[in-house]
Amino acid sequence: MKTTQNDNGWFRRILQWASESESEGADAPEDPEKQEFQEYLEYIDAHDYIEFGAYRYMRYQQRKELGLDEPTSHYTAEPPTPQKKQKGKKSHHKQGVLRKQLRWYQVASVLITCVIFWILCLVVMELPEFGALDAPAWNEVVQRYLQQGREETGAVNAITGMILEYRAFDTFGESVVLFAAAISTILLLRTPNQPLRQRKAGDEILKELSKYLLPIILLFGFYVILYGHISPGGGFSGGAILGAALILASLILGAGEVGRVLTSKRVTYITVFSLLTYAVMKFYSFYTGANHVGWEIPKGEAGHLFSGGFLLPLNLCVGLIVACTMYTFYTLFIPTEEE
Amino acid sequence: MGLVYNIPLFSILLVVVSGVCIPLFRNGKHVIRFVQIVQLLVGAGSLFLMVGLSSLNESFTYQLGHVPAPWGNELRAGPLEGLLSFVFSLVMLLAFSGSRESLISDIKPHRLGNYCLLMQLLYGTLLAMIYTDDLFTAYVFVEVAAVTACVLVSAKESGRSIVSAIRYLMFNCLGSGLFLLGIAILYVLTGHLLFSSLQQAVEQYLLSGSSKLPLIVSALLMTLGLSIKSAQFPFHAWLPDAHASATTTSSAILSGLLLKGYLIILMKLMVCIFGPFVMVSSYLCDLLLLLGLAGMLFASVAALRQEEVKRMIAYSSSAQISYIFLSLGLGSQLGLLAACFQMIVHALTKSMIFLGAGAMINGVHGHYWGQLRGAARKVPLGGIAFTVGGLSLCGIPLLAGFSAKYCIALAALDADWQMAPALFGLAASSVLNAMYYIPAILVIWGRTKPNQEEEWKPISIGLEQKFALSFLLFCNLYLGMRFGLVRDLIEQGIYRFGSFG
Amino acid sequence: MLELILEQRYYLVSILLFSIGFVTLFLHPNLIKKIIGLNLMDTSIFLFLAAMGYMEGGQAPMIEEGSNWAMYINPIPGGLVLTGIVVAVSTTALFLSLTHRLYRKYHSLNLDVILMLAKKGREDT
Repeated sequence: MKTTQNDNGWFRRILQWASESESEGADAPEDPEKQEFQEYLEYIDAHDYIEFGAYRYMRYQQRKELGLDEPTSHYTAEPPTPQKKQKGKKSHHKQGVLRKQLRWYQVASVLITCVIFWILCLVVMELPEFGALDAPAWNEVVQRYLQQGREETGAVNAITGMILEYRAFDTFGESVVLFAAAISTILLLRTPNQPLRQRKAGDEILKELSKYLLPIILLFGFYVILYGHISPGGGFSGGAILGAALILASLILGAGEVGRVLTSKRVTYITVFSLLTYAVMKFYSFYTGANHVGWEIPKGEAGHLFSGGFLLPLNLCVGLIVACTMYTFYTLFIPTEEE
Repeated sequence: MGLVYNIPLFSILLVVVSGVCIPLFRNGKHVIRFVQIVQLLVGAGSLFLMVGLSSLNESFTYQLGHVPAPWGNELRAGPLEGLLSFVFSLVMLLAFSGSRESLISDIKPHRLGNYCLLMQLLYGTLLAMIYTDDLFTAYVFVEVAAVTACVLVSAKESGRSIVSAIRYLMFNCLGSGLFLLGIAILYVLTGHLLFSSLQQAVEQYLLSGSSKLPLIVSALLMTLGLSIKSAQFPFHAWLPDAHASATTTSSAILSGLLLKGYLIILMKLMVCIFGPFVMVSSYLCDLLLLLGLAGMLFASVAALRQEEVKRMIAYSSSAQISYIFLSLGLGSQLGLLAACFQMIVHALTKSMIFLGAGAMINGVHGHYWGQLRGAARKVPLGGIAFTVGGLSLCGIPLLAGFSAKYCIALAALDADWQMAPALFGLAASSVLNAMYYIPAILVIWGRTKPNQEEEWKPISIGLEQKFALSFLLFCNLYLGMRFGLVRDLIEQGIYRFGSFG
Repeated sequence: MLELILEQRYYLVSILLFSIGFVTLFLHPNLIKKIIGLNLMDTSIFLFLAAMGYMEGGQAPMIEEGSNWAMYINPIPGGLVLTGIVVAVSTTALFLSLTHRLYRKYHSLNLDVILMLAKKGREDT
């Protein structure tokens, strides 16, 4: 808005700047930066190790003291920023500036935390006692879960029965969180058509050992998932075991080896289909339940493997989602070729 | 039960499932069409739901599964929920069609599908937030919103957008930590998670007079968590950066819809759980009022100093959110009504401003004021949208912003001591709004030097974009001139929603 | 008083952990430490919930035929903690991937430095 005055010189500069920036592009390779990084490597060889950011900051300060301009041409075409900004009040969002200039930022945050701690302590003292039998949470909701849960859901494990039958909508949201996180990480970290780094396969001993160990871990994972409704466990814990087995396999056998069987596309497809199956099954029971249609899935006899209606396939879906998500996280975080 | 009652569940599941299906598509451009069709369908369904429920004058709970509510989950819908989900679908649809070109140019083609997926999940989440009737369901979906929205901020993949995304995520996680702690304390105290049972339990505590401190602290923690998430004044640090570096669609939806989702949950907490008594006796209402007042003034002052168009609009969003806090803080039925009306008006207006600004930014390839000089002449429709939106937020009569301010003023006149500060804040922030929107409007319509006139010939924008902008303009004018219908609908909805004050 | 403190020790410890996480989040400019702080905060709430689910002398809720319902612990906090853990895992993964991207770009984990660099090199694409 300040341009309403002297827009003459500004305007030309802006046009110039706009035409320059177009030719550069955002992610164009930056040579000055590489050069600086080389200098940095030499510096830490000569001196002690410091962080690159800290090094750059030091250099920046040195240059400023000497009164030199920025050596990197990349940034000089900065858009017009009025000088007024520095004079103005410190705004809240400049954390860096705030913390550098004001020591009391740290003091204040410690104080705030102490106050919060104190208040929460007072609150905790007024809460019902730990393990009390007459706690308010021990109400008719819990009673029904524990008393009739076995008949109504066909699950021995009350927690599985609760999260997959009574409060299934929450669990659906939960799976969506996981899926969203997996997709977000893919969006942020995966560059297209980039091959997985061919890690050298691990030690011979480890490889031999893994032949015996991995099937057992995988089996155990599936056991925990499939028996989730009749014993402790369930989709989430079993899925975590499966995911851990996959990660272990790609550590020992090499990421390329596992990646050939479980390509990123296949992993995504498995997740998508599990989530869709979950949604369809739950939609069926939500719809029939809400409209009182009947058509309930036979619950079978509690305590058997094939019992509890949809619980077994639901657990399987959740387990696959969790395992695939964990494996996806792992594959995205292993360093790639260029680094 | 008739088919109408299934609409909430159908719309949430349809949106989420359609989002999950997107990885099966190959072509990014088809994905955008697909997403738009789903949004259109859900919007039509919500309209149907709203009309049906308002003519029957009823609200209902929808039992999810074979077990009734305190044991299972349930959804709740009334005229207000129908209206909100209709407006949200409309804004979503128009934001997608209005910024289609910048979406395709800003995001790399192989990421477009995943971007639309996350957008769709966010949309489903917002619907779930509108319809939910359970505190923990609300928490889960708040988290989905946090994860998806964070990537939407960073989708442009410049360094700055990732920095703002990480700050956004940090604030968000802090907010959800506080929110979860509040839920945990409330659950320990009452043993319920369903809104209606919680309300009964809280009432009993109030009658017996015990455990007042934990109740207040949990209310405070939840309010604090939600206000951090909805970028209320002292916690708004992440918002401007997030907007300035996001693509236009993200900005419009973040500012127009996402912040409102959290506010809807806050409103439900106030009305359905704590009720007027806790809110007033624990000074929570006063806190909200104070936050609102401070936000209205400070965010507007901060907006004065911005050199980027999107940053300025982002600060203006923070100020407009403060209006909602202010009207919630009045602690009356009228205040609630004004808050809902402001929510709807702001969702439509702010997305229009962002789309207009986005069209202009695309036209002149720059987003500093200096670069935008004369941009409205190049992209007339974008300029008109920006102008009308800006004037509407300044409170010029016959535009939507005026009627929202009118409702808030009416609510303020009905309050006791809050009247003077609320009216003062309203007046002062209107003046401040005018102080930054009017120069901005002058700049974009300003004449450039004569010899450069040829360069600024109007460029054509896509038909879809034209339609979206004109539709939003129409909505703004309609809400400005004939807001009685919408207001009555909200009033009916709030009455069904629960009594307050 | 002391008895009460001892009685509520699980809650108190979880509050203490929450505060530690909170202050870590504020004080450390290092992103990884901030993530640790956030995780600590979340975990402390899970401890809080898990502690409140316990009933004096209760067993894990694997319900046997014809047993008395009062002999088990409350299953609801278990479910809530499960959901909470999943949410915490997701946000942590997202946080780490953003950190990874920032490190690739700015070669630093210090948020102050990153903010400074980001401001200095305003890219306007």
